[in-house]
Parts: sequence; C-alpha cells; structure tokens
Amino acid sequence: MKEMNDDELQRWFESKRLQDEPMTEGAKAYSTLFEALAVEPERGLPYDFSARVMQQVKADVKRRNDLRWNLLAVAIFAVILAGIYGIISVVSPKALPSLMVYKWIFLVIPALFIAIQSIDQKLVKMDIFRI
Amino acid sequence: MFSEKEVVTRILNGDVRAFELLVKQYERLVFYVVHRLVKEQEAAEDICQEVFIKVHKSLWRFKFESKLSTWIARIAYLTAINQVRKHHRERLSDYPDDIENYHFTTETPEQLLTKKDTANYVEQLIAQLPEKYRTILTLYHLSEFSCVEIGEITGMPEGTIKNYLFRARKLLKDKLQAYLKNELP
Repeated sequence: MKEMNDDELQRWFESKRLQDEPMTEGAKAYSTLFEALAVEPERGLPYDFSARVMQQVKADVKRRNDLRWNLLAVAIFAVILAGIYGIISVVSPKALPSLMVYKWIFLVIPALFIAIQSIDQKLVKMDIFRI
Repeated sequence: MFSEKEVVTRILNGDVRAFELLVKQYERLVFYVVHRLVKEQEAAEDICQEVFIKVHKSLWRFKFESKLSTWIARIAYLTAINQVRKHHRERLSDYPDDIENYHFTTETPEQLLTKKDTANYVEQLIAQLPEKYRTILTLYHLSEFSCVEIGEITGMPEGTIKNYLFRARKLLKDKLQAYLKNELP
C-alpha cells in the first residue's frame, strides 16, 4: 500500500474500500478506529422505555383534554348565564336589578372552578404525593 | 416498513400507537446523541424521555423539509446541550485551538494495560473530547448522518463539521496507533 497522508487515509476508509494489500501502521490504526467508531454503546435504553414515554404522553394528552373540557364547561356556563339574564331583561326587566345583586356569585363560581382544576393539575404534575 | 409520512399523519390524527412506533424507531438514535453528551445513565434516560415528549408536542411543526430522523436528532442534541449547560456546567468550548495536543487523562500505563478492548479504549478517548467533537463523531459514524445533515442538527457550517471530524479522527488515530503499538504483539 502506498504511503498516504491522514486526509487521504480518512477518505479511503470513509469510502469503505477493503484493503487487500498490507497496511501501513497509520492505515491499520484508521481501520481499527473506523470499526470502533461504529460500535454501539454497551448500555442502551431500558426495554420498557417506549412504554414509559407512552405513559407520560398519555398523561399529557389527558391533562390537555381535561383543560379543554374545563374551559368549554366554563364557556357554556357563561353563555347560559348571559342567556338567562338576556331573557329576563326582555321578559321581566323589573326583576333584573334584584338578580344583578347575585352577579358576583355567578362570576366567582366559574373562576373558582378554573382555579381548582388548574391547582389540581399542577399537583398531579408535580406528583407530590409520590411515596 | 416504517413510513415517516404515514406515521406522522397518524400521530397528528391522535393515534397514540403510531407515536409508540415512532419512539421505537428512533429511541436508539436519540440515545446515541444524548449518551455522548450526558454520561450518567439515569440522566440520559430522563433526557431521552423529555426529547420524545417534545417531539410529540411539536410534531405539528414538522413540515417534511428534512428527514424525520434529522429533525428528532436536532431536538435531542439541543435538549441534551441545554441540560449539560444547566446541570453539569461543563465548559462547552467552541473550537479548542490545541486539539492536536489534547490531553487525555486516562492514559496512565496501568489503565492502558487493562484496556484490552480497543472499542472500549476508543470510547473512553471520545468521552474526553470536547462535546462538539463527540457529537459529530457519533452522528457521522454511529447514526450515519451526512455532514450536511449534521449541519442541520447542530447548526454548524458543513466546512466546520468536516474539519472537526478530520481533526478528531486524526487525534484518535494517533492515540490508537500508540496504543496498538504498545498493546498488540
């Protein structure tokens, strides 16, 4: 084998050409190195890795879906409430001022609902009760 | 046969099993990338998990402009680098000028004598290289990405990658040559 510099040797082994001729020391070292570089690490991921990922992904998807449903529930509640007030203001306008006294209760209920759900999700995510 | 387009479409339509297929297909690739940057097994596993969660959350952004493997490898690389910066406070040198004179700490004669397995010896040498060299060597030789694809993954120019690759391999070859001279009959 003719004497080659490092650049030529690296190109030679990159092209994965087999060498029949006796190799120089440098070429032998490169040959061994290229083989060693292609060796996979001894330790890998555990066999149940994908199952663990899926568990977490499913939990994430569930959390997101729960949040979506909660927001939808609040929106529906708000629409119904607005509808009821709307109907009352048309049908019996005199009753409206007395109902307006309770408006804060109706506003606080959905706000509390969202707050509880959000805190609950945070606690679940933090997994603070894990033994 | 694993079809990128089909699997991605199924995942985006809410098929959880399709995502499991994706995880199984790319878990080795992600582990190779992460493992080179994070030595602790448990931490590496956690980062791999985080990578796939990110993949699941942002898959809708994948527009098939590159191979799915390149896109996932980039997420793995960036996640691992961020973790290393955050927790290990490793100095991430950009381009050590004296790489040719890089000092490997495991090269005591006693340790050399115990290292019969060349692949393990090379593995130990690689572990001591600066992180960018480690990543490029892994992506090129183990995951078989091209220099262009490694550029997409790491954000480095192709010329720099070729240079890093050449210098790292030359350095390792010099060390290996000396090792083989001493160890083999």
